[in-house]
Amino acid sequence: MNVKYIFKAALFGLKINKSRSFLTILGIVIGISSIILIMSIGQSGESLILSQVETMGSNFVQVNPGKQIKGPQDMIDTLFADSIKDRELKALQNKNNVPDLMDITPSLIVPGNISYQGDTYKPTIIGWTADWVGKLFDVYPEEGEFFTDDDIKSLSSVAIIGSEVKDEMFASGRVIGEKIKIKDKLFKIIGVLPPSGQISMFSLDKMVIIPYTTAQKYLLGIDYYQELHLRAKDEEAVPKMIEDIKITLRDLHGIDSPEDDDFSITAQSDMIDRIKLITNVLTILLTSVAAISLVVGGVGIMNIMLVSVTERTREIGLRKAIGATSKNILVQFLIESIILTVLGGAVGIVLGISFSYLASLVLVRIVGASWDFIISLPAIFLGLGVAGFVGLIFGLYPAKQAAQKSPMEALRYE
Amino acid sequence: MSLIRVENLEKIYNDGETKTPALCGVSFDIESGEFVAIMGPSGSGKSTLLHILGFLDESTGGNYFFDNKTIKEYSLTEIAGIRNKKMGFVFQSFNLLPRTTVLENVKLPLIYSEIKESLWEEMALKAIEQVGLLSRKDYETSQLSGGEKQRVAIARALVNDPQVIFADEPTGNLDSKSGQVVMSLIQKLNNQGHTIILITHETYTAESAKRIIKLKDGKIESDKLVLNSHFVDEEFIK
Repeated sequence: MNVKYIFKAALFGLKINKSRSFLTILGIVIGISSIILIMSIGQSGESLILSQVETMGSNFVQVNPGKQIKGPQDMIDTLFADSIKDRELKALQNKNNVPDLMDITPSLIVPGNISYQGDTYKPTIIGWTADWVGKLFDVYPEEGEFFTDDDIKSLSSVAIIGSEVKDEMFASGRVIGEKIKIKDKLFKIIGVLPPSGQISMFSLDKMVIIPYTTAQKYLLGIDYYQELHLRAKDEEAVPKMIEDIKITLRDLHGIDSPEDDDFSITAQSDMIDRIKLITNVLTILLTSVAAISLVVGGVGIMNIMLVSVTERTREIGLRKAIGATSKNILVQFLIESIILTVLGGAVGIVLGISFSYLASLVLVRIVGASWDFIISLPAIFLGLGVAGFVGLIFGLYPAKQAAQKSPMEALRYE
Repeated sequence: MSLIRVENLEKIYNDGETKTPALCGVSFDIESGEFVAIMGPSGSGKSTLLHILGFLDESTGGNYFFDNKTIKEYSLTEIAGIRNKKMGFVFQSFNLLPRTTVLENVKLPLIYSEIKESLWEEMALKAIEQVGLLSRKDYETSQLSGGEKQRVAIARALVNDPQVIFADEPTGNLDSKSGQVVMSLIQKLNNQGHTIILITHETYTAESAKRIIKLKDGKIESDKLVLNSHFVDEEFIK
C-alpha cells in the first residue's frame, strides 16, 4: 500500500470528525506550548542573569569566609564564618603576595531601613570602598561625589544614594547635605547616583552605599567581612591571582591541606557555571511538569481513537474485505494518531512561541530592557518529536484493536 | 478441480455456553463462470456460508478449497491478497465510505493492491462506466440514490477484475426497479466471465441465476439448475 494513500486514509478519518479532532489535540497543544514557553523563558532568564554577571567583568573574583560549600553542614558553618578580617585584607592588598590584583573591596550588607523626616524606606545598604561603583560598573554620582579613603579611615557617617532612594525619600529640593537615619544613626548624603536600572545582580537605584568600615564597625559591630570583591588586572591573570590568594590566605591561617581551607574563592566563570546549573535544573523541573500534561493529552488521544475505532468498525470490515491486511489497518490508525499529535505539536509550538513573545514584552517592562526574546530551537524539535512519540505510544493500543477486528464481525456491526 | 469446492462444511458458533450450529455438513462444487444463487430463509446459514466462501470467516469443520487450497494453507497476507484480487464483495448495505466521491470509493481496493498508481484512475473509471455512473463519478456517495450506491459498490467489486463476485442480498435494501438494474448488471458481469455467488431470499431474484442452492437449517435442501433463468431488461440501465 503506498504511503500517499495511507495518509489519505488517515486524513479521511480525521476529516470526518473535524471538531472532535480539534478538541482531542488540545491537550497536546497545551502541553507542547507550555514546554516551549518554559524553555524560552528559561533561556531568556539565563541569558539575562549571565549578561548581568558578565557586566562585573571577566576579571571579577569574590572571596568568602568559610569553606567551599559542599553540603548542608558547610552552609551552616559559612553563616558563622569570620575568617576574613582586616589582617587578610591587608595581606591580599600587599603587591608581593598578590601581584595581579588591581582593586579590592570588602563588601558588607547592612539589613534595615532608612528614615528621613518620619518616612522610612527599605533600600539595600551596602558597605564598599569609595569609588567601587565607578570601577566595577562605570557609574558616577550625578550630584555630589564619592566618599574618600579618609572617610573610610575615619569611619565617616556619609552615604551615596541611588536615584530611586532619592525619589522615594526626597520630594524635591536639596538632597546633598541632608541627613538620613540608618539604625538610629545619622548619615550625611554626599552623592546621588544617576538612574541606571538593574546592573549585574544589583539594583543601584535602590542602594545606599556607605564606607565599608562604617558598615562593619559602626553599624554591624563585627570584626570580619562578609565578602571581599577583587578585580585582577586582566582575565588571563585570574587563575594565577586565585592561586596567589589561596597561598596567601593558607599561609596566614597556617593551613596545610586545601581541604582545610576556611575561605572560598569564586571567579566569574564559576558563577556562570553555577547559574547555568541552577537555571538548567529549574528548566528541566518545570518542563517535566509540563510533560505531564502531554501524558494527559496522550490519554485523550487514546480515548478518542478507541471511540473512532468502534465507530468505524464497518469501515474497517469493508477495508479488510476488499484486501486490506491487518498491518494496513494498524498503520492507518497509527498514522491517524500521529497526525493528530504532530498537528497538536505544531499548533502548540506556534502558540508557545506567541506566548513566549508576549511574556517577553511583559518581562521587559518588569526587569528592564535587557530581557531578550529567545526561541529555543531544540525545544521546537523536542516538542514535535515528543508529540509524535506520544501519538505513537497512545495510538498503538487503539490501532491494534482496529487491526484485530475480524472482517465478518466488523461488517455485521451495527 | 473446481474453482470452489466445499466438502461437508460445518460451522458452529460457540458463544461461551451455547453452541449454535449454522452449517451442518454442506458439500458442493462451483465451477469458474457459474452464476449460483444461494437461497434460504433467515437463519438457514446462507450468510455464514458466504462469509466462509469469501474468506471472511473460517469453518469449524469440513473442507473448503478455493483454487485447490484450503484457507489454512494460505497465510494471512495471502488471504488479504486473494480478497483483493480474486474476490469482489457486494453487500446489502453498500458499505461505501461516507464523504468520499464515487471515484475514490471505486479506487479503494486498488490502494491495497500492487497495481501501479498511474493505472488506478483509468481502471476505476472503466469500472464506473460499466455500471453506467460515469456522470456521477465526482459525486459524494451521500448524494446518490440507493440503486446508484449499489452500482458504485458493484463497480468497486469489479475494479480489480476478480474471478468471483460475492453478492450478499444486493437488492435487499432497494426498490424493485433499482433492484432490477442491479441484477441486470450482475448478470452482465456473469456473461463477461465472472463467477457470481448471490445470496438472496427472493425467488424472483434467485431465478436470474443459472443454479440455485437452497439451504435450510444449515443443510442443503436442493441444488438445481434454473431452466428458464430470466434476463433482466437492460433498458433499466441509463
